[in-house]
Amino acid sequence: MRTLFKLINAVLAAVVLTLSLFVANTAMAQTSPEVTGRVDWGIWVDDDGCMHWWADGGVEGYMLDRVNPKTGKPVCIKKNTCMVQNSDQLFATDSARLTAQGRAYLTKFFQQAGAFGYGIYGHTDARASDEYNMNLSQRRARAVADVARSVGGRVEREIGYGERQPIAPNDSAANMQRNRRVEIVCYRW
Amino acid sequence: MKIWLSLPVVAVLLAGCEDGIRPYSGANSIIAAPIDRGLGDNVLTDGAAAIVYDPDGCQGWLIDDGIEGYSGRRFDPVSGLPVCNNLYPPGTVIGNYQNDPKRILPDFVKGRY
Repeated sequence: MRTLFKLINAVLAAVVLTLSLFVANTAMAQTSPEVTGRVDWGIWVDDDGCMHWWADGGVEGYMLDRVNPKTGKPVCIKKNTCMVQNSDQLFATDSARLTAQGRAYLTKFFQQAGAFGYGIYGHTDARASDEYNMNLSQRRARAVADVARSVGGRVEREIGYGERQPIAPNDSAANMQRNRRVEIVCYRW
Repeated sequence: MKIWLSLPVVAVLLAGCEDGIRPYSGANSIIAAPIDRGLGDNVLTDGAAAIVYDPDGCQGWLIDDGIEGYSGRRFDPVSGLPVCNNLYPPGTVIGNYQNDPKRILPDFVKGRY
């Protein structure tokens, strides 16, 4: 008797499952969209190195900014990073105060760069805490931005990314040195 | 008697000569492709675009390849942030927006409206 009960239960469950699948399928069929054609996308790279999908429609044209599906950020090959300098050349270790050499180098750079605006980014290696590195890179970005402003440059943003945007694994002295850097993007017409 | 053709009509006639366009034919239609066969085989030249300001004061890229127009957002390649500075009024176009090495037609712009 118990076995029979179990069997009926199983059959009922199967019927319910089938019915619900049928209902879901019907619902999907009702809402499934109609394919009306295809676009073959090409890539156009802008002057900053960021990618855009484009296609010619015979008479119309279309363009979509290419974004990273995970982050939503634009996909750029960074050809317009107009300066990447190792932090050791600009600052003393753990300091956001520019060395005399570093200040002279940056002053000359901003006098010659000729951009209408700058994005300035500080990065560290992975030694010390994340919080410490975020703070240090922010102060270093500000120090570089102050030099830009001192010669009439327009700083559109100054951001410290700490150790969160490494360009190399932090597994050797040489790689860590590569990660300690200041990046400057020049906005040009 | 003078017959004036609008720019789109001229474009369709010229493009039609080279099999650049065809009537829509259902789901297998290629709606658009990364080449312009309308007036010679043109692709867009990387980096060649004007800058246009949108109503938020942010910059975009503006391209005219002769018949079509394209626009895409300008991003900072390191942070991914848009470039927004209100340096010019909304709608201002700066630089050469014509990206058409084999330009045949002069550019026509919008009339009064």
